[in-house]
Amino acid sequence: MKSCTMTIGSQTHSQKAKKALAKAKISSHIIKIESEEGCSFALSLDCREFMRAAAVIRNIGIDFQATESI
Amino acid sequence: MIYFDNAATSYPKPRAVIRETVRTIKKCGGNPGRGSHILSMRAADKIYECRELLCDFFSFDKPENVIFTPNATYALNLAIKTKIKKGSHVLISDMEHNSVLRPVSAACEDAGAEYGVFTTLSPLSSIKRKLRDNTDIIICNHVSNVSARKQDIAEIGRLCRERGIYFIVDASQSAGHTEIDMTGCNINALCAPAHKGLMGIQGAGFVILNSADGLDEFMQGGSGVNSSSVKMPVFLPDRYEAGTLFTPAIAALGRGVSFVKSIGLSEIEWQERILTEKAAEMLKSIDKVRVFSEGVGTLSFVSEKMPVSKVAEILMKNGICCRAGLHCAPLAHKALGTYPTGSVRLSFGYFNKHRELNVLWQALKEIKNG
Repeated sequence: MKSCTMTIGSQTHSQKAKKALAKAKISSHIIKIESEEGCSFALSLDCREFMRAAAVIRNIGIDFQATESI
Repeated sequence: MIYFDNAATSYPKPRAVIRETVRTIKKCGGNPGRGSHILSMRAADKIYECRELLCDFFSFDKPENVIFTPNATYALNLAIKTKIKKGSHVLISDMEHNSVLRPVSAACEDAGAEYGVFTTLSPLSSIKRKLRDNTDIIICNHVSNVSARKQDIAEIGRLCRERGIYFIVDASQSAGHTEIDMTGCNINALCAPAHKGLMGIQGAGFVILNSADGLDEFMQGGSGVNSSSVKMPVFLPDRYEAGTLFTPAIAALGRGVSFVKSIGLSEIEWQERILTEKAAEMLKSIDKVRVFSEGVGTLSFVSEKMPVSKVAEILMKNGICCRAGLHCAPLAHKALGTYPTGSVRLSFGYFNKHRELNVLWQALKEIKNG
């Protein structure tokens, strides 16, 4: 499984996004990553779910950056 | 021992709250918002759960806009000092606690702003008389900590919305006692402590902001994110939550809110109303005693026969905990005509029993006889 990372920034916003994804039956977990700003919280999830997850998160008004895929 | 000082802090705490506090210390001991390891995430989950519970409880929909603070005073300072600007004109009520009066006075002096006081006997007409073109903030406590006088925050909120005025509500004495609809009342900043009506423990409070637009930074420090910048993050709650949060007190608050919901506000209000009315009736039957009972849960009285400190001493001798003096609310005592000596305050909570009023009556006989 290829894993994608959606960098959100705030841990609270990441928690809100994770809950919204869970409601949409998309599994994710919160990680902390180094970023240009210093450090950020992000969601890690199955890349196959990325497009659907992006729609859910945008729908609740949270911005994110797709920073990497492993 | 009989505890009639619930306006200062509720006591005892529900067993579930005590269990939650201990469990959080034992099982969720990481630093929330700092790492993504299991102990940090457990702590963060407790905090997020509490944000959601508070939103649900106060009819608001953005958990990220719940800012945790060490107490209600800090929350009020945050709401007040991030909003007052040079040229601001602020209106506060005549029942405000020093947690509003002092930060407003200091912020106005620092910023070059002014403030005025409106009367809570006829608040809308008083506010309208005192409004200026530059009035941009109204601050009001929902329920007085001296006499339980309650303000119609829906009406004041409507007026604020119509005039584009920022509305700050101090819910220290009402949160957990009576319903508050933050959205319906057009409240911009709702402040309250964890440890009073919401049944949490001391060490936590919160402000719920409807938006951070136009608000200044308040305190700087570590936020766990954007660490390269010398500025605080712009987004909520991180913008106003510098430093490590007090996870056990926040978890306890969450459990306290759940407890209050499980009992129901109407049940709590009803119990407190009966106790307040009966106590007021007893006090009014005593000659030379003036009673200030204007709502639910809290009342004050003064005896012409002895000073308030002596009355409190007699009550304590009979095992009754109460509070005498100005209750950090000199404005309220001026409004009630009990300044500068203050009053004796009795404040009831959900756990008080009706039979405890019999002990009060026995103690009052001593006061009655001078």
